[in-house]
Amino acid sequence: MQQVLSLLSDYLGVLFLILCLGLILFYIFSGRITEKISMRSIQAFKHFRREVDLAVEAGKRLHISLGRGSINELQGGSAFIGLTILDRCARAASNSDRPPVTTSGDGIIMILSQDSLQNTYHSLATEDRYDPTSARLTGLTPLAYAAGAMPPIHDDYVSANILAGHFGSEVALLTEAGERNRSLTVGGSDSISAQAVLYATSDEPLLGEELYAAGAYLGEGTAHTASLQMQDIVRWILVVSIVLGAILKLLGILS
Amino acid sequence: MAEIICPLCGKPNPPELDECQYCQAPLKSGGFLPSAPEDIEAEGTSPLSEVEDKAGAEPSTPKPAAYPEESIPDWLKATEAGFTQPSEEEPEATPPEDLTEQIDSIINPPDSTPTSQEGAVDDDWLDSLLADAGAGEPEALSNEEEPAEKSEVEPEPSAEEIEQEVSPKEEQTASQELFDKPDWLANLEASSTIKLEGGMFGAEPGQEEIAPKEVPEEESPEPIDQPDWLNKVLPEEQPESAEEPEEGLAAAELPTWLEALRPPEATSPTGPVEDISSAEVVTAGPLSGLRGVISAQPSAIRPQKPPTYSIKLRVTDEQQARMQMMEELLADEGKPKPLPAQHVITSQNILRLIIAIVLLLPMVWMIIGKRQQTSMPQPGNVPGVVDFTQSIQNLPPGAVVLVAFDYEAGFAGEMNLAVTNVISQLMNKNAYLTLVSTISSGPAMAESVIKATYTELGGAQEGYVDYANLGYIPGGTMGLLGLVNSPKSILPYSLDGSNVWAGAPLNSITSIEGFSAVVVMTNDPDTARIWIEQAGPKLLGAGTPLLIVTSAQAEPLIRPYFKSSPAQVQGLIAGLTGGIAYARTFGNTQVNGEWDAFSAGITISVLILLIGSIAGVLVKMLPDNRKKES
Amino acid sequence: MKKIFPITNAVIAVISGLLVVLGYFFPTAFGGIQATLIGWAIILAAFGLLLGVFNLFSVHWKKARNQGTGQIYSLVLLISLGLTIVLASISGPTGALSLWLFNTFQVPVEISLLAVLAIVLVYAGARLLARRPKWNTILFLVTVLVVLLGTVPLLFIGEITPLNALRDWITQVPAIAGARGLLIGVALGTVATGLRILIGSDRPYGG
Repeated sequence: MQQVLSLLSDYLGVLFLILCLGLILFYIFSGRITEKISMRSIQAFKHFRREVDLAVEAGKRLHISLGRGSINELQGGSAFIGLTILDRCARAASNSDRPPVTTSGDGIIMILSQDSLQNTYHSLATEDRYDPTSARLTGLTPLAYAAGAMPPIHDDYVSANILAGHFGSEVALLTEAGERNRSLTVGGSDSISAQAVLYATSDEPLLGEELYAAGAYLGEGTAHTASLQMQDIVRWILVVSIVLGAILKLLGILS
Repeated sequence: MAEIICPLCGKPNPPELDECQYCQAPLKSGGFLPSAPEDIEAEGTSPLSEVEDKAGAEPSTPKPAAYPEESIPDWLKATEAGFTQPSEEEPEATPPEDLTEQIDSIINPPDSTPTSQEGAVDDDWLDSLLADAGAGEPEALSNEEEPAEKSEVEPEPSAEEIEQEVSPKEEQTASQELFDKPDWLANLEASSTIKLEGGMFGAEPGQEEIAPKEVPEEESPEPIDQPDWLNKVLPEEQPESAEEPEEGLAAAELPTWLEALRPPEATSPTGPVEDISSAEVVTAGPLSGLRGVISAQPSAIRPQKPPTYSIKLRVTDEQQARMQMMEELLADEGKPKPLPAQHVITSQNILRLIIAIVLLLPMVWMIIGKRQQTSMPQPGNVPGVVDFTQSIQNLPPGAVVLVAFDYEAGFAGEMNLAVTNVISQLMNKNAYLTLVSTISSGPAMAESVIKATYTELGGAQEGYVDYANLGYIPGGTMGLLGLVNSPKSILPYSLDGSNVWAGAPLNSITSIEGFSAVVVMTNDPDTARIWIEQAGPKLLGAGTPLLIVTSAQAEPLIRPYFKSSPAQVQGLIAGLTGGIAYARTFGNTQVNGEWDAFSAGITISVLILLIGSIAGVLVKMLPDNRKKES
Repeated sequence: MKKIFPITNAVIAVISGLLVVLGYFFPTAFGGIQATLIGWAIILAAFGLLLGVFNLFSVHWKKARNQGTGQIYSLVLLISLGLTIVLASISGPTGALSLWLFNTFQVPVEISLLAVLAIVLVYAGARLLARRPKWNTILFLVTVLVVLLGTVPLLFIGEITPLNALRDWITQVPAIAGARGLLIGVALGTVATGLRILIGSDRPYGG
């Protein structure tokens, strides 16, 4: 039993990854993904679409901030979600008079955001609208990044701010700037402290893993919907495992 | 002298005019010609009566038509001859037999048995037409006329019979006549008339009287020989034919609903608005002999100035008002609405200013006054401080300690108290400090703290020398993993360019567990977790203590690692509370008013939150705001 | 050529990611290649930092040249950037001039920003209930008040021991439980994101 547990603990990570990957591939290639899965309504994503349309109509721009998380770190996942949201918003607002502006606190994320914008305009055959300076690195430290991201909110006729990435408590400065500018702020982060701040200061916060569901809600593709379903299943597995482990520990079976 | 009624607009004109003074339509040349004055007064004159009037009207001088005789077939010539016989000569004369025969031959093929025996038709308009055809023949065609053959007199008695039947069957006869006429005749009649009153569809009450009026007018023309084909077309006018169905044809008794569908011209034919009795007779073409139609002669149609009609709309006052409203709405759409100027000083800005002043002023006052009224935190009451102190105390002199400066410059105000105390304790132990950082501003922060702390300790002017600042580790978590596995490969040189790994004491260290202790100073709970998860297992295995100095915001997330069993973090100092408590462990109690200012700030913040929440709820509950929300 | 680049990028990304992941679980077989790839990633991250600085320069150069709002601030930034590079190059990253710049400008400015952040958070907390009148907002505010009151002895009131205990319990039991749940969800989302990149369905690197 101990050997089994030992072996299991050694390769638990691999098994977990294989399980997740298998579920994602299953839902991608099976016919069930074609059925419309019921996703609960998230107000923030409704605001996404509405704000993009309003920005296009009003001739204003969107400000998308990808945070300061690097892809080399654990916070890279939220940064990739931010890039996904950037891609969708850039496509939807591509015919706006003022294209979206992106700010980030990491050099690699800044490069990726430039690349994402360029590919978006290239795919829409509007490469002449691409401006490399629309993707900006505003600061290398958290507070410097927040201080550098505030002027684009104030000055550039921003109608809505979408904050998606890794932030800390300094995100309150961005939401405050959005409130002063009377622009909508929708935000999500993987940081606990940032989520608490966003709940108190933003118009529509994305709490927990709602940020990671952005791809599925914005129609990014089958893989996003499949991974959302995978998360739901694995979450239940973890819940059952935690409860079971607590019961076993309480009974003294597990040391 | 009688005025001439314009055939186009129906307005009276002086007789001397050739063109209508209103619409410039020709008054005397071919096509539409004015009717006689007595006909103008008659309301709703039927086409039949108008056609009859033609018989009594002054004949117009038809213009000669120059048609090449060779192009006209004989049968048509005969037809034309029948139609173009002057009415003056024989106004009441019966139509020539050859004419009726010709018409009969045209309409009824030889194999068809004419059923004109069934009865003559009291077709007044046709009678008058035929009479006019005999009266108004053009001179050009007069040479082409062939002696008209008298038609059979059979239709005559039937015409008389029909006349007698007209009175009892006024509407039905009139409608049936019109209904049974050939289409081209009906269309000709319709096109040659201009309605003066009434709609185009639906019989008007007045029109029903037309038929009775036709009766006395119908009596004026003398009966004429009805052609056989005409008798065949109107079989129902003969009493015998009404009951005897024709070959393959049922009696033309129309149901009421179908009669209701008839246009008013069919049910109660109205007479032409204009009197075409004096209209020029067409002398050439298939319509020769007819009056009131546009002649095919090129000279019949004069290019004339198109009539001008008033385009002024009749607009009521209400419509005018609505139109103005629409114009105003559309005009407003084009006008750019000026954006409301954003006031620099708004109520929100004032509120922010008030909160800032209320929060900062007491704190500044306490720092300036260096108050020390609030009770300091006890090291035993702050979890992790005692263990931290013991871990530092247990280090041997000259121990090689890895110190990670991973807190931002902005948190220096909160964490510098704890950091400087830790560094000072390590300096007192003559520990060799190996400084690293996973943030870009860390090396500068580390250097600054080392120099400041050594200066506070009253160290030598050249500064503390037992340390190596290895600098910034790029790559975040990956870099940290590399540092854990092989610090020498990740950071081979110090910031001043020297190879510190070549000499003592770092030459004996090959991995992170070779250090005596690892002190991580970070404000970010994620950074602390990365250190714990990446370096913790190796350090735990080697028995190397992992000590964390963090901010108050990260303390709740780090404490479970400290409280776990086995503890993954062997010492924890969090925030200003932990820093002061740690400082008290070795008697370093600073009286600088920080603790009192911190306490004041927290108290005022709580009050602001309470008052602001209550005030916000009360404002929302005001009736005005409720109405606005609803 | 344009079609080959995206495919090549995807192939490189997928293979590199797989090797690093396998290196975690099978260090004996894939540890070496993992370390090499991580080393390359660290170098690229450092280069990314430099590119970020260059982007910062180009954005503010453009703003400084175009007349408009914020032109003066962009000029100040460019001048500061230039001076810092020059002074740090002269004195070294830990030299006197560099530390003077750091201690005189960066530390006070960041500390001031954090102070502004504190005021912003207090202001937002005061308006929270009016802005979002829900029961969970009331729970949020009550928790904030309990934690604040239990952190330090209050001015003129002193320490409230029951609140200290309550604060400890809140921060260590329900708050941590909720935080752990959120973190598990975040971890699942991160795993899903990483797997989507590994299988090539998500390509944030373009192509």
